[in-house]
Amino acid sequence: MTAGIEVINTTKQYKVFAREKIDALRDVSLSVRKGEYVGLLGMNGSGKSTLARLLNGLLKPTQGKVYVNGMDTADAANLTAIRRLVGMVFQNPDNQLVCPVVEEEIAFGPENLELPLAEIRRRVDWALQICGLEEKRHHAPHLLSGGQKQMAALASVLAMLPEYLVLDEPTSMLDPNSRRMLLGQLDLLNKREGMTIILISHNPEDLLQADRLIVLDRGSIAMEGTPREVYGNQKFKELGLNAPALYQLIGQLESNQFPVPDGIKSIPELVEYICQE
Amino acid sequence: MTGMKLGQYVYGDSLIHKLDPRTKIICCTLAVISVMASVNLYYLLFLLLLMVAAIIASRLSLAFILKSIWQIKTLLLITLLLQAFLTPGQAVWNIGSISMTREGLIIGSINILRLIILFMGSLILLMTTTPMKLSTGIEYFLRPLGKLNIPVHNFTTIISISFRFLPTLFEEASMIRNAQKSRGSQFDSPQLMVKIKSYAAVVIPLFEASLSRAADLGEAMDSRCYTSHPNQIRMSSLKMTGRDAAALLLVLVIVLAAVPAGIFLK
Amino acid sequence: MPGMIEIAHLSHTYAAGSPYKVEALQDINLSIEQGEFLGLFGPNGSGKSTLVQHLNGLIRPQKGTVTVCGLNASDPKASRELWKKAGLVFQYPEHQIFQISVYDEVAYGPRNLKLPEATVKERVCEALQQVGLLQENIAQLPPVTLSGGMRRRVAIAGMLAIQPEILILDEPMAGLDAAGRSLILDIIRKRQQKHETTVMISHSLKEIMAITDKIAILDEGSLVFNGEVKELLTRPEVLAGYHFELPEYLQVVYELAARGFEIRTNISSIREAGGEIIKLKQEFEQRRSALPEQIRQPAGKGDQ
Repeated sequence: MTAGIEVINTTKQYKVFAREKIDALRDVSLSVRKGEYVGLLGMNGSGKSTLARLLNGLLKPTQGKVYVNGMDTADAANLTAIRRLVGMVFQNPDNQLVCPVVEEEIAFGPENLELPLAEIRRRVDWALQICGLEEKRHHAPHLLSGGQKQMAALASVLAMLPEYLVLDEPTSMLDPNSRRMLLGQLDLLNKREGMTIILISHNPEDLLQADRLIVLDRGSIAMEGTPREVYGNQKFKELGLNAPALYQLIGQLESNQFPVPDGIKSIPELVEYICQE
Repeated sequence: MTGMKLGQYVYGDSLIHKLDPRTKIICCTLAVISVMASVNLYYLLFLLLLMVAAIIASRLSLAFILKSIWQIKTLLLITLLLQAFLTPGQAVWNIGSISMTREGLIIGSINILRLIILFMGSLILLMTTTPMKLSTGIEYFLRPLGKLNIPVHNFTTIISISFRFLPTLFEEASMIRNAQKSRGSQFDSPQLMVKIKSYAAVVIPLFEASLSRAADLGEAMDSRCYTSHPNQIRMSSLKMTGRDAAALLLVLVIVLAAVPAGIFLK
Repeated sequence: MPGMIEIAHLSHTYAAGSPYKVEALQDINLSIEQGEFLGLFGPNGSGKSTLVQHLNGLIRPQKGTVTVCGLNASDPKASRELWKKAGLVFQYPEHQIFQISVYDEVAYGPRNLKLPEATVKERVCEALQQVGLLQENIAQLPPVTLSGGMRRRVAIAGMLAIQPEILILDEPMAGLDAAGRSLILDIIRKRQQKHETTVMISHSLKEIMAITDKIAILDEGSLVFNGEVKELLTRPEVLAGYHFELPEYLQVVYELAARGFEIRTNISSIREAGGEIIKLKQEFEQRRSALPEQIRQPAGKGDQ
């Protein structure tokens, strides 16, 4: 069984208000290796949310194929296994939590997998601990802040022990502190637990930690590469997008004969590097 | 903070709070049966005393319960009057061709007493049991229906999602109300049409939000492989203890003792 | 001359006397002049929403006074008129849309003002034009068929049609992508150019700094700063708590300054920041080449 997610020549069409067909995605191909941190950048209408939902079988391609660890998402028999492997976190923190108690919410996934009670308990404890929600265990979700709700949604997905985490604009409804907390958590999951992360956003600032960037524009992949490659490319500006401020600053320095090495992705790293010069 | 709503759960760790919800459901059911089947004034007064004892044992505010009973005074009054005027017997007061009878007044009073006992029982149940524990208890009893292919677990999922979002809906309603007030909606206008339109300005957006929420929740549930399954964590939290055995025994004795005493006449 | 909005010793406590008590506002003193564009910044729970809800009559002052356009907010009769003077646009205002057509939705406010239908029509057209939606029969369309960004503009138009003297926007660009943000920014800038009194709440200093010079900062119910952005940048003790909200180039520069490097901190663009860092490096190179051959060391760690 080949590991990784493969999207092969996939097109997705919708009928809008029973009038015309629109192509949300047009002949898109990409692959994600295990352990990668991929950032998917696209404005509203670029097809990024459609692509996210193709990855765990919520949507099936009109044409083309999507494989998760070798399993075809169009085959209904595979769906449970695929959805166990590909965990999805959505944009609206409130609209993902169905249970009246946080602990039950996290147990929701494992319960659906019909695991024994002891195993469910173990996973709930682990997910609560890794997401810093132990104190909120018995709370009702409406008492949590937006950021905590999103962490609860993440924890409830982690409890299914996925191999891939797909997050569709998870920070766009969060305040800055919660946003940093969530992005930090994702970084931790990727670096420490080896979780494959596919983070979808319209805001390049969210994707600073990504190893690889894919830029979607009107249903097709417009650019792909490391963040430096993508942001430094003229085409990026032509798409009407703005590179993150950090990279703009690096660009400034580079164009004035102050080379900055590729691996630098955050403000502390940049400052450290400058201090050493 | 808005005032406490009728029948809302009140946190506490009294004897009654700690009882298993199934015990409380059984006791309530037995109480309902015995109230409905009995016409003896003294037995009903005894049950009323029992309710008051339960209220004290659960450390609920007796004043609040009495105030709540006062809220249904119209219903009680109508019950009394209907019975008083429609029961044939010795007339006490005449209005035109209809008359209020002594028998009517007695039966009416007994009916009011029954309603008050049932009302108090329900309040005690709702105020000492969290909605989730309550529906888990109900699901426990409905489990055998699952054998008949009735999706019992879906029933509890629906209830639990409703409870989960009730506070959220209240908050959203409040926010939308403020937003519409900021555009000149008058929720306390004396004109009915204006008032209705103002409330429509809250209900419609709430409804739309609920529809899109339902779609989102469906996706989130599907993504976590939702199928109708018994909730093990929730079920495992229900435990009967000695307390429950004692309570059940007590209620059973009271109800059964009424039978040989020939109280259940008709 | 008294300002358009005068807030004196305003305090507000939620659920006073109960275990859930929250002191949302503590002794706030703030004055907003006519034509001013004020950015109101503060983390979640700092009391920003509570404060602005006093300005349009939603909340009556518990302690202290609030005067808006001469009206005293504590007076029950006057406070019922406040919504006409101070228009408060909530977060995600598109969630309050309930009418069947865009026209009716935008007309809701003017109709509540009891204006004649002809005036209502004028107001609706003007408002739709201000938000850039006066095209192709959009007025007849049901709002539900429009995109999220367009619905937000409809909601804002609904408030603009009331033509309040003061406009208060609570996180107007929340949840929008770059294209959506720039459209809203256009509306805001137009208002600024016409010197119309506006208060914008944001939890991003970057956003506020991009639009206005005047900023007030609330934290846990207290006003910790009220003045110009220029002055704020010279007050590291205030900035200390929020330095993540600053533009990235400023963060880099402040961090370098904190480590002892001599670098100018009152800069206002990425280019300037880049320039300052280059200058720093060049100074370093110069100092290094001035040292005798033997002492010359790679990577001056000792200089930190």
